[in-house]
Order: sequence, then C-alpha cells, then structure tokens
Amino acid sequence: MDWIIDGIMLFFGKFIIVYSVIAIGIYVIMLFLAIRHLRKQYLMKKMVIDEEYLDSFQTKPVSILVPAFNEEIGIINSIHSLLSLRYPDKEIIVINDGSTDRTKEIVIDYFQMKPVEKVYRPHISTKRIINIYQSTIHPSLWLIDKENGGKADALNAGMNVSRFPYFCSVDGDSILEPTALQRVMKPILQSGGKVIAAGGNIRVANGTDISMGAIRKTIISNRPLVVMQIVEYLRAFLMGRIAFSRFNMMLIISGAFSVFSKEWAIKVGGYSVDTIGEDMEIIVKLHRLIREGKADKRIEFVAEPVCWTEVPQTVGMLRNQRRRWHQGLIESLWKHKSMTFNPKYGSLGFVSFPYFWVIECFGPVIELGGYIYVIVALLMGNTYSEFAILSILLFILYGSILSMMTLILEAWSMNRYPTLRELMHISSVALTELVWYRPLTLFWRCEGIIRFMIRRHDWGSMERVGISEKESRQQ
Amino acid sequence: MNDAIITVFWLIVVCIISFILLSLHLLWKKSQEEHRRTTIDHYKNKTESAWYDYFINDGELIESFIPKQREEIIGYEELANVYVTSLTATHTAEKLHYIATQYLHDYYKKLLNSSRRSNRLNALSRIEDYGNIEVLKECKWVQKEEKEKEECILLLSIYSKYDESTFKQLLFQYQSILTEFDCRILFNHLSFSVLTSFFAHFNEFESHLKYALIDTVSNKHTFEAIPYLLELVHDDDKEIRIRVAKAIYDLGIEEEAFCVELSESETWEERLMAAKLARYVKFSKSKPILFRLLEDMEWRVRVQAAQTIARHNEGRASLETYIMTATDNYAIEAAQEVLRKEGDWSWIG
Repeated sequence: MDWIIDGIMLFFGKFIIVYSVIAIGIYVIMLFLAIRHLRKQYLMKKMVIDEEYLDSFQTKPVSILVPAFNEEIGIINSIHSLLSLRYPDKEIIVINDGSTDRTKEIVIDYFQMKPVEKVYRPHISTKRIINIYQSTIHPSLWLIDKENGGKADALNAGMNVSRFPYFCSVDGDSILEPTALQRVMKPILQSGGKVIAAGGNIRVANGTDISMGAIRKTIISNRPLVVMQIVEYLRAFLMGRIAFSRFNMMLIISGAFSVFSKEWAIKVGGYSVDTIGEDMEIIVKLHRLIREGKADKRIEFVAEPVCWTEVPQTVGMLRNQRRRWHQGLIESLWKHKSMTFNPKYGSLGFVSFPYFWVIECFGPVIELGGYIYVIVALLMGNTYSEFAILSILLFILYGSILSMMTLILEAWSMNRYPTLRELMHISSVALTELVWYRPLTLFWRCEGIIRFMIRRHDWGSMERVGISEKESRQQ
Repeated sequence: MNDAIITVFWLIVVCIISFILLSLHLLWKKSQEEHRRTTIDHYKNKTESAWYDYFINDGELIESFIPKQREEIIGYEELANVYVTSLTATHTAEKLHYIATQYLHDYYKKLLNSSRRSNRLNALSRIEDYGNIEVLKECKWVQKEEKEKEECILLLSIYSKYDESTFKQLLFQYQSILTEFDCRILFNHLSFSVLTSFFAHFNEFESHLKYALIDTVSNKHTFEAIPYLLELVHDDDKEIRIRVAKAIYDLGIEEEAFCVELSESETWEERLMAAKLARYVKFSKSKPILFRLLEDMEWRVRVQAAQTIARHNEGRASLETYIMTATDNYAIEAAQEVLRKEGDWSWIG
C-alpha cells in the first residue's frame, strides 16, 4: 500500500513541478516579447497625437455598438465618453437588450430621442427589434430597443442596423479615452485592411475620478480585491496579448472595447448566441476563416491603455464573472477542438490552442491540485515536504513575482512613475496573491469547467455600482 | 531535490532584489523626471512671452533665451509646437526654420545618429515641423539603406513638404513598404502640380499608390487631373475604374456616357457609382437610368439611386409617385427611407 501512495505522491510532485517550470518559462518568454515590443515606443514624444487620424479622408467610418442590459447607472457616462471620442466619422448605436430597469427611458429622456422607421438589413437573425430611436440633439446617436437575447444577440442586432464598414463593440459600463478609437483603428488603417479586428488595452476604473464620461484622475482603489484585479489585468494585457498578437495568434480580444471589419464579422455569422464567451468565440471563428481561406489577414492588440472598465467589487460577483469567463473559454476551445495540432491552422493550432488548453483551461485544475498536494505533502513529511517546498517556491515565482515584474514593466513602458506608496501598496497586495486570491480564482475557474461539463447555461449578471462613484463615497 | 529547492529559492531572492532595484530605479527616474520637468517649466515660463513676441509680433530674438541645454530645447519644442500646429503664417515658419538651423542643428544631428529608435523618430518629427532638412544631408544615418518603416514614412513626409524631387525619388524606392493609407497621407501634403505630375509615372506605380493618387486628387479637388482621370475610365483594374468614377463624381463632372456604361456593369460597386454620377446628368436623361437602378438587386445601389433622384428638382415628386405605383417592395423601401429626411422630425406627426 505504501509503495502505491509513494508512487502517486512522487508522480504528482514531479508533474506539478514540470508544469510550473513550463508555465514560468512561457510567461518569461511573453514578458521578454512584451519588453521588446514596448521598448520601441519608449520615450516617444507624442506632441501631435495622431492628427492624421482625425481627417475623414484618411479614416474609415465606424459604428460604435453598446449593448446594454440593466445599465441605468453607468449608461449616460458611457455615452458621454463615446460622444467625446476624437474620431471624424462615427455613429453610436445603443442596444437596449430588454432591460428590466429604466435604461431605455433614461437614454430616451436624456438625449431627447424619437422613434424612427429605419430600414436595416438583417444580415444575422436576432430577437425582434421593437423600435429604433434617434437622438434629436446628437443625430448620430441611435437606440435600438429589442427583446432580450443576451449580449451576443444585441451586438448582432447592432451590426444589422449599423451603416459603416467597421464596428466597435463597447460595454455599457466602459469609459474610453478620447483618442481610444483613433488608436484602435490605427493598425486597421495602416495595414490597408489587412487587420480585420483589433482590441484595446483595458484598465480597471474602480476608484477613479470620472465626470461627464472622462477620466479626471486615476486613483488606485483601497480594496485588495480590486487591486488584485488591476494586477491581473496588467499581466493579462501587457504580457499575454502583446506576445500572441505579435505572431497573429491571439484568441481573445476583450469585448469591453474592440473593433471589427463588419464584412468579416458577417462572414463568420456574427457573434455566437449559444456560447457564453462570445468575444473569444468570434475571434476564434475569424482566425479559422482566415486560415481556412489562406487570407492575408491579421487580428491585433493595441497596447496603449484605451478603455476603463468596472470590475467586480465583491467576492460573489467576482466568482460569478470568473466562472462565466472560464466556461466561455472552454466552450470555445471545445467547439473548435479540431484546430488543435491541426497543420492547416499553423501556429494557431500548434502554439495558441495547446497553450490555451494546457495553461489557461486545465491550468486551474493542475494548480488547485498543486495546492492540495502541497498541504498533503507537508502533512506527510519526509521527501514529500521537499516537493511541497519546491512547489510553493515555484508558485511564488509563477504568481507573485511575475505580477510584480509586470508592474515594473507597465510603469517603465508607459512613462507613468508610481509614487512609493502606490508601488508598495500594489506590490504588497500582489505578494499575497498566492495565499488568498489565486486559490479563490482557481476554485471558481474549476467550477466553470464543471458547469461546462454539466452544460449549465445561466448568464449571470453584474450589479453595477456606477464606476468610481460608490467607491469614492466610501473612501 | 535540495539543489532544486535552493536554486528556485535563490531565483526568487534574485527576482525580489531585482524588483527592489528596479523599483528604486523607477523612483529615482521619477525624481529625475520631476526635476527635469521643473527645469523645462521654468524655461517655458521665463521665455514664453518673448517667443510669442518673436514669432507673432516681429519682436527681437533674445539671444539669452536661445535653448542650449537638453531641458531647454524640450521646453522650446513644447512652446514652438503651438506655432507649428496653429499658425501658418510664412514668417513664423521661416523663424522656426531659422532657429532650428542656426541653433539646434547639432542637437538634431546627434539625435538622428543615435542608436535609439525613439530619438531618431523624435528628431524626424521636429525636422518635419521646422523644415530644417539641411541636417539630413549631413547625417550618416539617412544615407544608410536599412531603415524602419516608420522612419521611411517620416523621411518621405519631410521631403513631401520641403523637397519634392527627393520625395519622388524616395517614393519609388520605398513604394513596396508603404500602404495605401501611408500614401494618402503623403500625397495630401503635395501641391496640385506635383500631384498631377505623378500621372506621367502612373504605370510605374504599384496598385496601392495608384489608388491613393486617384483618391487624393479627388479629395483635394485637383481639376488639373481631370484629363488623366478620363484616360483611366476604361482601365483593366476594376478598382481603378470605381475610384476614377468616384473622383469624377467628387470633382462634379458631367459624364453621361460613362454613367450609362457603369449602370450596365455586372459589379454593384460600378452601378452604385453610376447612381452617384447621375446627379450631374440632366434629370430628363438620367431618369430612366436611375429608376432602373432603383430596382437593382443590390440594396446599396437602390438607396443611392433614390438619394440621387431626391436631389433633382422634380425628384421627390417622382419618388412619391413611384411609391404609389410600383410593385417592387425593396425599391419602395429605399425610396421611403430617402424621403424621410434624417434630422427632420416634421414627418413624425
């Protein structure tokens, strides 16, 4: 009996160590690729920011789609931030996806909207559109009132009604930098249509000072849960996405702010309404179409911060979000599993998919197993405790140390020098990631896997507090 | 196993020490940056009104205010940026050029020869602002073959403004690395005569340059280019034909024969352009074409045809009659959409 336990413990010990070393290796490579990329922009003076992108002759018109479901708190701020975007030719389409609160009434009253009989082309079938409204004070602002069908369905309805060759999806609770659209459209315009989708860098807005849809001052929240998410966002966007984008292997661009070629989005059937992670799903479908048609097209990530979003402030909401995200991830991977190690899809099949399967999808199971192993091994003592200590050290390296390095990378690359207090605050919270935040998120992500396996589909919702306002009051 | 533990442990220690050192470096950089900013702001406060007098009121150039240190030059650049972007008076441009040539020549030369890419790009941007292209002739880096795309574009942009013959020469050299978007920006800087002169080399250009040239002459209303555009209406490249049609439309030329020809095309983009061009053709002649296009299989053509009809004097009345008598629901829908003016709320009732 002892030899069986011994064998199992040794096997798992070695397995966890090998996995951790591989994961650390991948993250270090990504970190170096990000440094190399960001170094190019380092110390560039941007006196005249992208003036050429303000000339309608040079740019392409963009329809901005804002799906809104019960967003009565943040929607006005969000629309204000969209109206103040510096971009020559744009229309804003807010899609009220059957909200049960006063979202529709608030938008109609605030922007003095009237119903119009707009003719549109149903490229993609959606739930019934009840009415279309146009603002009398901002004629380029539209409101679609439709039956509830989820975010993907709302975006598809917006795509049908939109007039322009590119559309930009923005979350109802997001605040954009005034130059956000210029920056995200830049790779599309510069490539002469070669780039068919681009995603922006998302930052956490909780605690920041916002008025009339503009960020007045960035303040780092005092809540450890929010600070941990700031670190997490930095790590995900600065390291992962830059590296994958470099080789046209990015499988996710955030639904909070991304631009797509309408023609290509329609070609892949728009957003999928049968998956939870519609933002990942459309990117995977686009990649698939590009590789299958051998088209010379790219999907890119813009590293400069362009969009601010509200993250969950309570454990309950965060759990719900992470479960949903992970379920969405595994659904998309499973749906397109045939792409894995398929030579037809090149680097996407041989690098991207295996990475997402092993590190992102099943990583939480292995890591959570690692946590359990460490506890058991420490209790059993002897040789196992050595495995446990090594695993703990690798976890520290993998989690906290890499997070801290990302903080430095961000401060250096963006020329944003933090104060000593801010640096100490964020890095001390990042150091504790290993003992509370990481196990929690790993557990929720494992729940996401279970929910996928039992095919459970409830969409969940996030109770909005209105970016910054509630927290500012509390602080 | 113990060795592995010790190795990882030391690796963590090294990482933590690196983190502390990098944090200290950042804090030091921050204090340095703050100090530099204070110096820059001090220079700007001290010299702002003197520079305003010099650039705008023909005031004297105060020698002691001429920037010498790096921080002072940055301060000057920030002040000068207002005059570069907001004012187009010739004498202001000449003065900006004079200061850059007389006093900042060595500074920009050093930046251009720097191994750091951002330094070179910053210098090129300022040369584009001030027009001190003399520095480029003395710079070793400019002679080098290997340059990044952004550097090539900035160089072209500088020459497009200040030295058109070098621009032409470099354009042929770099045309394969440019995109249509880059070319449109570059062509936009050029004078009508230079722009028109490019039609003589039209066949030597790659497609994206051809497209950009046609679009730019149309955008800049370069009437001198009309004869060249008319020569291209039967080009083999469909994209060129469509863009030429758009340019002819933008320039407001009546081309009835071309309009009829396009309206019978198999590609909807050409039929769409026919619907646009019909705007300049007499309604009595264009009416049959437009009502045929109103029943086109492509909705964009139908909507355009309806829009063009509505723009003619008797157009709205004709559309209203059409709605009452027609049987094609798609065409009726397009006509109705056009008749309902956006922004005019009177029709709501």
